[in-house]
Amino acid sequence: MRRLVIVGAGLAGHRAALEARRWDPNLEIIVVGAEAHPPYQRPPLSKGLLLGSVRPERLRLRSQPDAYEHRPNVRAVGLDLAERAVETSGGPLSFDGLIVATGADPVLPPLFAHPATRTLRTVDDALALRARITPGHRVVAIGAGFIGLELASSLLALGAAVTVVEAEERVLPRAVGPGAAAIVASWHEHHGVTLRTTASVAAMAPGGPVLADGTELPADTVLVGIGVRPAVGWVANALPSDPRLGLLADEYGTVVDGVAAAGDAATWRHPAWSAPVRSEHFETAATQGVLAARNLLCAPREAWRDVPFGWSDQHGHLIQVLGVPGADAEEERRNEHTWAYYRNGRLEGFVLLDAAEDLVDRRDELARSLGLSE
Amino acid sequence: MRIEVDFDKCQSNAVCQSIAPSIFEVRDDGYLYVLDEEPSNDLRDLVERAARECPTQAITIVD
Repeated sequence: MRRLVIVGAGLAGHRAALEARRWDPNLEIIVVGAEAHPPYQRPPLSKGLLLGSVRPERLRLRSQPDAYEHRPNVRAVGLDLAERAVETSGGPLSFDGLIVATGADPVLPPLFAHPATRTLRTVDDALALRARITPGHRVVAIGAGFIGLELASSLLALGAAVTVVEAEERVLPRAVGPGAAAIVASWHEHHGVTLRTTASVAAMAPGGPVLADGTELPADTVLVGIGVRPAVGWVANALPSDPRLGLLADEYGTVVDGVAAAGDAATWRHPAWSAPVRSEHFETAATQGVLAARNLLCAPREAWRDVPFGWSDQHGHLIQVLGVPGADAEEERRNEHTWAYYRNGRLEGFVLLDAAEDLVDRRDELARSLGLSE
Repeated sequence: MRIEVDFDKCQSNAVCQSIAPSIFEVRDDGYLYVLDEEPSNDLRDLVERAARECPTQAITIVD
C-alpha cells in the first residue's frame, strides 16, 4: 500500500493515522477533515471548555502531530470505489486504502427551527455557546441524554437557569436503567436544574418551546441533544450502511476490501454480541481507529473485543458505563455505587456512579461474563 | 516499573496528581506531565492506584 486516505480528522481518524505510521514508515497518510482545526478532543466541549477550566489550545490531540498530513477544510462528498478515489470539496483524492471516520452529526428535526436553537458537536459550537451564556440566561435543553445532562450541569455552573425536557419518563432513558437514572436525576435537582420528564415539545413559539400540555418554556437558548446520526451520507450509496448505524463493519473494522471505518461513523460487530454494537464512546473511537488501521495494513487481523467503556461528568459526579447496560436489560442494584445489567441471565453491563476505584474489577468481571478474558 | 500515559485519552482530570503528586502534575498549560516515568518500586502501590482510578483509563504500567 502506498497511500492511505483517512476521511475525518477526529479522534478515530487521528488514532488510525498514528497506528498506520507505526506499521509503515514510508506510507503516505492523508487525513482530511471538514473542520478548520487540527484533530482535537471532543469530551471537554460540553464540560471543561464551557466552564473555562480547559482552554481551546488544550483540546488538541497531543501525540505525534507530524506523523501524517492533515488537510483541514476538506469535505468528502462522494466515493468512487471502482476508481479507488474519494471525491472531496478539494477535488478527487485517490487511495490504496481508505478509512472512513467522519463521525456523526446532531439530529435536528425541523420542529426545533428557531433563532435560539443550537446543537453542540464542534469546538466552534462550544465557543459560540459559551459566548451566549450570562448569569440568568434561560436555557432549555431538549433531551436528557449524556450531552443534554452535561450541558445542563456546565451551563448551570455558569449561572444559567436550566430546564431539561425529556420525552421519556426519566433521564438517560437509553443509556442506563431506572435505578441509576434516579440517582443522576437527583444530582441535577439538588443543584437546581429543572427536569421535565414525560414531556415533549409540540411547537416552537417566538419565546421558546411549547410542550404538548401547553406549557410554554421561555428560553434564550434552546439546546437540542436528542442523539446523533452517523455522518456517512456522502458514502451511503457506495458502501453498506444504515441511517442509524452508519457504515456496517465486521469485528475487524472492514467494510469492503481495502475500506475500513471507525468511531461514530460506523457500527462494528463484536464477538460478545450477536447484533452489531453501537458504541458512541470516546474510548471506542480511539480503539477502533487503531484497529481499523492495523487490520488494513497487517495480518493476522485483530478483532475489537474490548468491553465498551464510557464516562460522563455532571455536577462534579462521575458516571462510568461498561459493556452494554440500557433500558432493555434487567437492572440490579449491587451496592450504592454500582448497577449491574443482565440480558437472558447474562451479565452484560455496569453503571458505576462515583466509583472509579471499582472500574477495573468490574471490567474484569464483565469480560469473564462475556467470554472476553484472555 | 515504567509509566505510560496515553495523552490522547488523558483529559487532565488530575485524579492521578491527587493520588501521586510526586509522579503526576497537571501544569498551567492544561496538560499532564509525568515527572518520573520510571519511579522506584516503593511507589508502585500509589502508581497502580492512580492507573486504576484514572476516569478515562489513560495510564498504563509496563513492568
